[in-house]
Amino acid sequence: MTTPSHTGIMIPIVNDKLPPSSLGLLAAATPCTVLVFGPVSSDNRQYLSRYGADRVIGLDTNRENSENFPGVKSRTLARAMEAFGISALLGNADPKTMDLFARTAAILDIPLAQDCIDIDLKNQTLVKPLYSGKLTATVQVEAPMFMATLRPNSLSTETPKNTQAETGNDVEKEEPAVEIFQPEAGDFGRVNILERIQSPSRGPELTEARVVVTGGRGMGSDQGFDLLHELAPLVNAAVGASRSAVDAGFAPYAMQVGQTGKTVSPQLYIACGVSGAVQHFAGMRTSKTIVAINKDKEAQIFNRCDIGILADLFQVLPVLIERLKARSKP
Amino acid sequence: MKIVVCVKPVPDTGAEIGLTDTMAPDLAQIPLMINPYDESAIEEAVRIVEARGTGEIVLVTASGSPDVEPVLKTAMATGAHRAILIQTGHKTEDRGIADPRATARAMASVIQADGLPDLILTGRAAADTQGFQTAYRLAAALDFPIATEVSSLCVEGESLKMKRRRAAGNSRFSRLPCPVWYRSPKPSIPQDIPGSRISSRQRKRGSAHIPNRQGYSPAGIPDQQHNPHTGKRQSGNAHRRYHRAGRNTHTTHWPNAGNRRIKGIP
Repeated sequence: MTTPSHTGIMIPIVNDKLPPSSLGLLAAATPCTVLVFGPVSSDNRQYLSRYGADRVIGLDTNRENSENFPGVKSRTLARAMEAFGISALLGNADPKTMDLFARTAAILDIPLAQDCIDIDLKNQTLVKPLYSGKLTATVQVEAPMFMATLRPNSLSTETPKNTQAETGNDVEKEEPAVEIFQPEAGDFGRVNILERIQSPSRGPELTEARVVVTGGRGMGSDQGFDLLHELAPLVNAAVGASRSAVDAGFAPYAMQVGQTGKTVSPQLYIACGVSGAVQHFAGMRTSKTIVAINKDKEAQIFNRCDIGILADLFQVLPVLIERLKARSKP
Repeated sequence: MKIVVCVKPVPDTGAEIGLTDTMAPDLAQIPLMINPYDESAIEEAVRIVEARGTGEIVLVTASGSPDVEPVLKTAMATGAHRAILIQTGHKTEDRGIADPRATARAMASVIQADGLPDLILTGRAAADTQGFQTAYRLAAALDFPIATEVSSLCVEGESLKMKRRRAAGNSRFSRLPCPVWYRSPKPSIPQDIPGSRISSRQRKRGSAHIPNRQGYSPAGIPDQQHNPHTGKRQSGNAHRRYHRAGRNTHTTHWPNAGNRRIKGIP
C-alpha cells in the first residue's frame, strides 16, 4: 500500500449517519485519513473507503461523558494529528467543529482558517470570505501543519474520478479496519456542561438545508411565520428569519440569517418580506438562486435576486402553497 | 472583580467594501467602529459589575490604526474604567489580516502585565475577518478555560454558570471556575452614539467611496471580487502568505514582537 495520506478530515457521525456535508470534504481531500469521534459502523467504514478514505481513525477520548468536556476532545484530536502525521485537517464549519478546531489549533499553535468556501490542497490555498462576504481572499498557507473548516454546501459533492466506485474495479479487498486511537489519560479541562436542552426541531438544519425560506419584517407577526412553516415542508426547506423579524419578536434568534446570525448557502433561497439590507445579504449571498417576494419596489433585495416578485407575500404565499399541495397529490 | 473585555476596531459593518487598483480592500473612507459582538461583551461586563456593586472593567485592544483611539473612548463611555491600546504595526485599513496568533500573544503578555483578571469577555467573532480563533489562542496562552456562544451568564461564588446557544436552538448550561473567557454571540448595537459619530465622520471626509462593481449575476453565483491581499508574517517556523497566483505580488512585513508598544489610555 502506498504511504498513508497526510490530509485528514474530521467527520461527525451522528446516529450512525454521515452528514451530507462530509461528502464535499471527502471529494476535496481524497485520498485522506478520516478521523471520527465515536464508533464507526462497518457500513460507514466501507462507504468512506469507496469515496476516498484510505485510513479511518476512531478517536476514543478515554473518558466517559467527553461530550461534556470540550477540552478533552480537542486534546485527543491534537494528539491524534501528531500521532498520525496529519499535515492538513479539514472539517465542516458548524459551531461545534469550529469550536473544536479552534481549541485544537490553539493547543498545537498552528494556523487555522475558519469558514472557508473553497480549498486547493495541492497548492495549499484556501478561499475565505471577509467583511461578511463582501470580499473574498485567496489565502496561501505555508506551514507544515494547518487546519481549516469549510462552509457546508460550498464544495462540490461530485464523486471524484479516481475512487474505486468509478473504476468499477470491485475487487474483493480485505475490509480495512478502523484504527482506534486513545491518548493517555490527562486533565479533562475545566468547562463542565451540566445540562442540555433540546429544542424541538422542525425540518432540516438551517445551514445544511438545500432550500431556505426566510421571513423578514414584512411577515408582520409571529403568526405570519406560520405561513412559512406551512410552506417549508412542501419543499423540504428550513425556515429562517431576518434580524428585523427576530428583533421584533416574530421568530427566535436561532432562526436568524445574516451577519449576526447564521450563514447559509442553499440551492434556493426564498426571501419573503425581507428588505435585503447588506447585513442580511451577508448571511445568504452564496445561495445559488435567490427569489424575493416583497411589495416595496424600492427594496434592496430586488437588486440582489434572480427572481423578484413585486407583490404582497400574503397573497403570493397561499397561492404557492396551494399549487405545491396540488402538485404533490397523486 | 476585575473583568477584561477584548475588543476589536472593525470597518463599519454596514458599508459596502470594494477593492483598490492594487486589489486591496478599499477601507480608506470607511470609518472604524467597535466590533458589534464585542459591544455586547462590554454590556455584559457592565451588567455583572453593576449587579455586584463593585468591580473594574478594562478594555484591551490591539491595533495600529491611527483612528482607533476615539473609537475606543466611545466604547469606554459605555462603562469601562480603563482601556489598554496595544499599538501594532497592523492597521485595520491596511491590506492583509492581523495574524491571530500574534494578536493573542500580544494580548496575553499585556493582560498578564496588567494583572490577571477574574473574567475575560469578548465577542463571538470579529465582524471583519471572522477568524473565530483569537480568543481560543489567548485562552490557551493564559491557561484559562473558555466557553463560547454564551447567551447569558451569572457568577455563582467561585464559578460561572452560563447558558449557551447551540445550533438548531439547543442550549446548554455550563459551569466554569473563574477565571474564564466567554464569548458573547448576540450583538446589540447602541442606536444613538455610533450612528451620529459615523455620519459626522463621513461628512468630514466627503462622500464614501462607492466602488463600481457588478451586482448579482443571474448565472447563479454572485460576482466574487477576489481580494488576494498580500502580507507576509514572520513567526517562527510557519507563516501565512496571501498572494494571487501567477502575478507579481508585493509583500508587507508584519512587525515582530520588538516593535510593539503598549500605551495606556487614562
